[in-house]
Amino acid sequence: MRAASRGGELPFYLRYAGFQLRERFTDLLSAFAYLALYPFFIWLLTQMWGRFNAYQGHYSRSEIFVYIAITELLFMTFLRSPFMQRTAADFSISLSRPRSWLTMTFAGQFGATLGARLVYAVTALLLLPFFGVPAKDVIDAFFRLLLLIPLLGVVEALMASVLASAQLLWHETRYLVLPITKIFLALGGVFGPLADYGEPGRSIFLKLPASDFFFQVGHFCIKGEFYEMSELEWVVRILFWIVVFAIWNRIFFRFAKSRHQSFGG
Amino acid sequence: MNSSEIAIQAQKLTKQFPKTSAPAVRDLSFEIHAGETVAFLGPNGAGKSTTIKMLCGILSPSEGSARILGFEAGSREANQRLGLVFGTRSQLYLHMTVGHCLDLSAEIYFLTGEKKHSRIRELADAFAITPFLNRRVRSLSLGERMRCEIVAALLHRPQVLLADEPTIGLDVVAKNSLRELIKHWQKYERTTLMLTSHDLSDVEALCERCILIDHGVKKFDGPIQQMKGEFKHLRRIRVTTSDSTKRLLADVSRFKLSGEENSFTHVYELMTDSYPMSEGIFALSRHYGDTLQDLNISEVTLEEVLGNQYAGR
Repeated sequence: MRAASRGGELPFYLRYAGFQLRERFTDLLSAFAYLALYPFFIWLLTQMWGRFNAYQGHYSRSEIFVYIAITELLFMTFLRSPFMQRTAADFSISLSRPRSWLTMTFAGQFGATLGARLVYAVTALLLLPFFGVPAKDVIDAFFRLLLLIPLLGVVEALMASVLASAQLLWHETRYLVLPITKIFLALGGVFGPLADYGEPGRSIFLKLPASDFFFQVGHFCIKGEFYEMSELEWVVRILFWIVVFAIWNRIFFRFAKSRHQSFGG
Repeated sequence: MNSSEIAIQAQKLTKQFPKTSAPAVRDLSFEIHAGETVAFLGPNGAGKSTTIKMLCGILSPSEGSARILGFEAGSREANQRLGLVFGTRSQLYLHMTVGHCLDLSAEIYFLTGEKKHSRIRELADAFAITPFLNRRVRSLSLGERMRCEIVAALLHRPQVLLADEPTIGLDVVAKNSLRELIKHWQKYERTTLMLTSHDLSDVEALCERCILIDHGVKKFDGPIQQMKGEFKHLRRIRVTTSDSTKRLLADVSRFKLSGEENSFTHVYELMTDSYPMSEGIFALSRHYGDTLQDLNISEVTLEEVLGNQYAGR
């Protein structure tokens, strides 16, 4: 049974990833609400950017639309609290199952994030031409995004399971999810306009790790290159975070397994 | 599975949670053979759920060990042979259909392809959940959901089923139906069942043996009838009379206790190992004569026996 079961592991985790994605979009009302808000956010944030940075010329107006669409897509699918709550709640029961909680959490988060991003990407592909962005630019940008999101998904899935394990050890850490996402939003996304500012500000902010996940991704999708960074350098930086989070995952999981108290009946 | 095989074994199982003075479970040892149905009883905070969680690998014991069919509790081999039902925790996904959830549950336990589909069909028929397969879990009543939870736990043909309060919150009809289904299925597949429940009618309906723990220590381990101790010979005779002025029969040597439930109903307790029931009934018939309308004889329930034991906590 064991040999056969080992062989069946990968297809199972792929199906589990698909299951999590379906689960995310099964609640149609909230799924539609998010999808309906997405173009509104793109329009609103582009207007705001245009108002505050009207004198800057690093990105053209249509590039700003694409940048906002991409960073907003990444944020709306980044470290979702409901998934982490469910993951933490499933922790106890998964210890009594013959599958690894870490791998299931990784597969679930990766699948749900990747799938949701594809859904938003298709929405953006259809919408952006209505905002006046040339269809070819939209297609190029989202093709580049497709190259990056699997790697980003790996880091974010690992990050999510670290936070879920942390919640089992210290329940209060669930309140960390919001500040972490906001820090990433601030340092990685909305500081994008800093590309227009002078040194040393832009080098400090735009080369922070948070920037690798949002600003650099948006910039690469628009321009076809990373901001003052080679493709290899970006990949190495992301791989570094994958290793760091993979190690943290093992450590947090071990602590959570030995110390969680599984309260209640 | 051979019935002489030990399905669940706990040896000096101890769990001490951090920052607590006394261990939740202390030196607990017992063995459950394959095919047995055992109730695991105790008042709130006695350590029942902690023990169950150590048996299924959710918690690690501070000392001692637990084994499922010879495999260390919590190991992959043990988990593959174990089914779990928690009345207070759902293993299903609220927004997904029952069918999708069962599909996932089966695959978690390496059940795939046609075997998976036929097993789901078989259990869905047996537990009468076929009409729910395409419904979302959130739309089910508690009783319907619990039936689905049990199906999810049985899909991989576990040799051992641990059920923690499976009938909690269910109404009488749902509870009876679920008990019957579990009982039938346990006999059909010879699954070893370990059940915790505060509803002792569950226990009496499903289990032959019971382990009683309190403050983490084993207080009793044996057949349910044996747990009743001296009470197993006690019978309660409830007499209904048409004459409200009729007094209680004063026969303290025969009846252990007597009292009035109301002016028409009198209750007597008789130890049948000291006095035959026929003598008791004869004495009561003579005393009440033509005014005797009804006579009901009942055993002491497990609930009363345990209530008696818990009262001294």
